[in-house]
Amino acid sequence: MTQLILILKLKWIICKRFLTQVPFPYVFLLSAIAILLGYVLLKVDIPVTWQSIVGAIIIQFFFCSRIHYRMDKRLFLKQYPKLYPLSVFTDCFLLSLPFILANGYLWVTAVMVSFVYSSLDLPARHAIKIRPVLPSPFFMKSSYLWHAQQRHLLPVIWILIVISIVMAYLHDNYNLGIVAMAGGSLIAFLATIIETEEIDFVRMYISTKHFVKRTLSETLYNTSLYLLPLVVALCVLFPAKWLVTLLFLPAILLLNVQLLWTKYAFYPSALLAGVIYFCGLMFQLALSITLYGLVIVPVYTVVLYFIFLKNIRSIISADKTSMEVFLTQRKG
Amino acid sequence: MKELIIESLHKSYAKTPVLEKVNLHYRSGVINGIIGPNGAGKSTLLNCIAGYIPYQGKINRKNIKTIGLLTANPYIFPRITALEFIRFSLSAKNCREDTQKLNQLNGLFELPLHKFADEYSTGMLKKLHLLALLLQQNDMLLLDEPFNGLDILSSAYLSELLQELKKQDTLIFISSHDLDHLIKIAGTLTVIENGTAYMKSEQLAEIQKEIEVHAYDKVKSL
Repeated sequence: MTQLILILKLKWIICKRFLTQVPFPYVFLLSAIAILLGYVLLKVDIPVTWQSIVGAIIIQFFFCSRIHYRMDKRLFLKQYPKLYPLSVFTDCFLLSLPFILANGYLWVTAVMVSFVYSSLDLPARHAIKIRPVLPSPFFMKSSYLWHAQQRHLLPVIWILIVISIVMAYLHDNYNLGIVAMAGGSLIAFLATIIETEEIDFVRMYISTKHFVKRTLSETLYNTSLYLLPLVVALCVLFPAKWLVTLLFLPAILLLNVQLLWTKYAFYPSALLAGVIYFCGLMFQLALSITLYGLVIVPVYTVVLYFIFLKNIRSIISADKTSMEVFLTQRKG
Repeated sequence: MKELIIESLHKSYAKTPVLEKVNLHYRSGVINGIIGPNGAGKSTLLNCIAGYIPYQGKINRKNIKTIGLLTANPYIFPRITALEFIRFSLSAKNCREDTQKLNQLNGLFELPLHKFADEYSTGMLKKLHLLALLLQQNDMLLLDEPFNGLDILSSAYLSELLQELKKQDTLIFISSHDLDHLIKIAGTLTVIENGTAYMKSEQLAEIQKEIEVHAYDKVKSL
């Protein structure tokens, strides 16, 4: 029990501190989304049948499987009695909370799934599984974004998009092609760019300017390489819609740059960055409804850039300060 | 007296064996050094000794109840201060916080304890974990590359602190590439190579000389 209270206290402190760092507009947006989700779950009427229970098991298992503990974190927690399974269980339990609003029985099912998942040490089993990494024709592995564990998604989704474009052509359905391109590439980039790397990796860059320049150019370069064949294919297969297709290219480039900046603005929390990016997308979508709102999109991007710059500067300069201390000590 | 007896230890990742037929026996009262080339299985051996990863074979930990492990890349929770981290690790091991001892030890490592630990450099983070481990009074300490990233003075302090712990009957294991350092503090040396581990019976100084001669000959032959 003491260990459980300890881990809950720790997670609460971490959560509280992350939330205090979130700018007010995002807090507002996050609250709005949470209230909306809660309202929908409360209103929806889900009967308790074996199908809904199986559904709850699958959904909760999927949520739990998203929890990844690095080897170092696992080893660290394992040296304290019961802390590791309790930490995994707490994470799974928190993810099961929305089920309460939908149905009490389904929530109990989700909690049971969480308990089984954490006691079987499934995150460890999941982590040691070798992920097949298909060779991508577009990216060098050394490039900063593409060292992500999920990088195999890039060629897989790219092939799926190509198949969708061919199907769209056969059925003369342009919307299918453009939605597949936009949606697919968004999922692929979201899974790879957002993945958090070690702080030492970020600190390898010699200065903030160097970091900003390199990450921006690599994002633009890699995104363009990824999208260009798809854009060309759509333009050739649907020549009448060439302008719409071409406009998607800068739009996705901008979204990827925003994704990059959001990631490092809220580094090291990939979860927070992911949620905020999603909120940002919704916010910009709402703004784009009117022409006046559309004018605010660049303002939003600039604000995001400055938050990103501030965080990166503090990360890189912190390391430089410790280096200076070390050099002074050596001189002394 | 604490003892660690390893019998027929076998560990493999997927189908690649890392450690095979390892039989070793350690006692408290000496510092046990572990050396080997990169990727030989030093960290794996430490993790098996701790019992934190699955393995085949038998590892008997006599009179060992609490284990402290320092990984090569120590983990830190985001957005908590170094002091909070130390308090957390002490509470998690049911240890009382000894402010005086903490201040004495931090007098050596000079860590800004009120700063967020995720903003620490690699060396500072290692010092923080060592500080937490030293305050816990574990029966067995497993240190993976503890001197890596530490400044010269901190390395010297750590060596002295480990010598003191050794006298308090703590079973200590250190894996390191810094042979000079290991030879100065270690009482036994375990070598891991070609998928197995064995203890060197010769004098440690002779081993160092042997390695230096080997390196000299190899470079000269280029």
